[in-house]
Amino acid sequence: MKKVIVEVCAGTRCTISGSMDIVANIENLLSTYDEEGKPMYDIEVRNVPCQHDCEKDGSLAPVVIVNGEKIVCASSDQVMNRISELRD
Amino acid sequence: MRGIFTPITKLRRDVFTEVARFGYERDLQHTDYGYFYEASYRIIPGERPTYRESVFKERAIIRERFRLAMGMKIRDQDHYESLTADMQTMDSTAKQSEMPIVNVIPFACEACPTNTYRVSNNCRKCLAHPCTAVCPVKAISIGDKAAVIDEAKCIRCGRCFEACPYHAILHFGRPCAEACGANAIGSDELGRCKIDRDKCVSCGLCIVSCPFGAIADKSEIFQIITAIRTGEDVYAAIAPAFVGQFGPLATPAKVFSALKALGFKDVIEVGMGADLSSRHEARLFVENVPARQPFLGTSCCPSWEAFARKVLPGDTGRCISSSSTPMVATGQRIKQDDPKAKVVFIGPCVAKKMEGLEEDVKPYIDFVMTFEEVMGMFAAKHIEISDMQEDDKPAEASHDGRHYAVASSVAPAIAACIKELEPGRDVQIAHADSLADCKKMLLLAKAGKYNGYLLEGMACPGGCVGGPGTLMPIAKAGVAVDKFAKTSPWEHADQNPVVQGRPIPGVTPPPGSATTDPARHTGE
Repeated sequence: MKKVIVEVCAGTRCTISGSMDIVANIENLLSTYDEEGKPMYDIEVRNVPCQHDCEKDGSLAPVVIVNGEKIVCASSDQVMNRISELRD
Repeated sequence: MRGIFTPITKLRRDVFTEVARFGYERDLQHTDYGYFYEASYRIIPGERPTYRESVFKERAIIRERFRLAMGMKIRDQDHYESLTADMQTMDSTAKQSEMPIVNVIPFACEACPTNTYRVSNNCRKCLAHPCTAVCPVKAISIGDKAAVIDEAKCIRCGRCFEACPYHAILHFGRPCAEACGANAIGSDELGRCKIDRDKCVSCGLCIVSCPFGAIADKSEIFQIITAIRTGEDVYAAIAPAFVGQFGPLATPAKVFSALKALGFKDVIEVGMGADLSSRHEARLFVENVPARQPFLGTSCCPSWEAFARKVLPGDTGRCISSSSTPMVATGQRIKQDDPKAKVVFIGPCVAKKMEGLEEDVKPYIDFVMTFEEVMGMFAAKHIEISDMQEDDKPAEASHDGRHYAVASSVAPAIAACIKELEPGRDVQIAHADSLADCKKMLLLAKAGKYNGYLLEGMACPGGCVGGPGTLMPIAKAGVAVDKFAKTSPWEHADQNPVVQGRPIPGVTPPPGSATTDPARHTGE
């Protein structure tokens, strides 16, 4: 299991577009355990300031960066899929 | 669905942002309301539907949402009414919206089945089939492939639902009706949701519970921005639940600066008004309980107060405090200092919009908006809250006043003031959040179980931080409110020097009448 660093934009446009709900969903992953009782994920979630992508196009929010790779118009399922892929 | 970001949340916020942008960018002399046709294409682009069966219906719903967000009534759909012809009547710096605040957009409602039991394909057609044995009216039988419920016979008792070992019986309810603690949701002739106005207390929980986004509330964003743009002195009175609502990087001091960047002249914490209310309600309690009334109910939640008066009509209903709410107390204080002030209450609450329409509240509160709506203003004006300078405004509210936003904090705040007025008095407290629990508490109070008590009621589960106009998950919001409350230099309301020497809101009723005067918010 590899560590995954998730940076979620906490700027105005991203917050209004639900970025904090993405944070809440990722944090739920932290309390999932496998059959042996070990945590299934090693994730660090960070709130980062505005990434300024939305200035050009407001529809790009929310912005989430997973291990350095930027996802625009991010949704919870997109981000969680990417986390699952990077974990193994 | 409160606390989960869904496509409905997105659409609602897109509408607020578009209306706010219109407010800020329109030509004040020659306004083109055709903007809203164009804006409906921005929110619903393309030719293929995303949410419903057609883009035309999607856009039609967005347009009704625009009307509500402009503070207007939605249109009747059985004859022609222009989308925009009556919009210029909304072009005002004064309150325009009227009851009802909470509105069903009928053609967005999918007429969900009301309280029905159905057999799912979990049914194994088992040998025991206890469902048939427990059914008191023999409405359930075993068919060719599965159990079958005869809907004509079914009395919806739910026994089969409980008895099935495979959880194969499903219960259908209307999410709006299940969220409504006032039992105000019925059906129109087409089976669509219809709100019983006599029962509704405008808590707004149906708005955030409808999975089809068919219910919305009226907004005053447009009039607020118009007042700001025409140079009025517009003040923001921000409810204690605001902390953490605008994201983890938006500290309270940055939120104050950001509100000023929107054009508000100053920002006042409603926690300060909460301190005034706490002191007043403590005095009411000491003067009247138990001599003139058996118990005292708090006044800060307008839905709870309206609900209590419906559940307990007559004298018992008057045991709910006649105090000015923290919102009104804050508005009074702002207008004492600046008689030209226009006061906008910004909170998590839909019911405050109803309270703002009461005749005795209007002199102190000009407009009411939610955190979600003000977030639309930030987005429209491209204000990045986390980039703001920290405002250096000193604290104006005590820990207890700032904590009003979390359930079971209001009564202890008042109790602390009672102890100051009458040392040694042991104040008994009961509290309830959600109208269903409030009803139980009220009925027990009526039966005499709470004589001598201070009763705290809140309509939203979790308190104001669980309100329909919030942006953050409830648990996180509660933690943020608590953290900010602890930074206040004063623990209790009566230690707060800001409210010392201020007239305490409401009138101390003459002896005998106590709080039996049905009029509230009596002003000076």
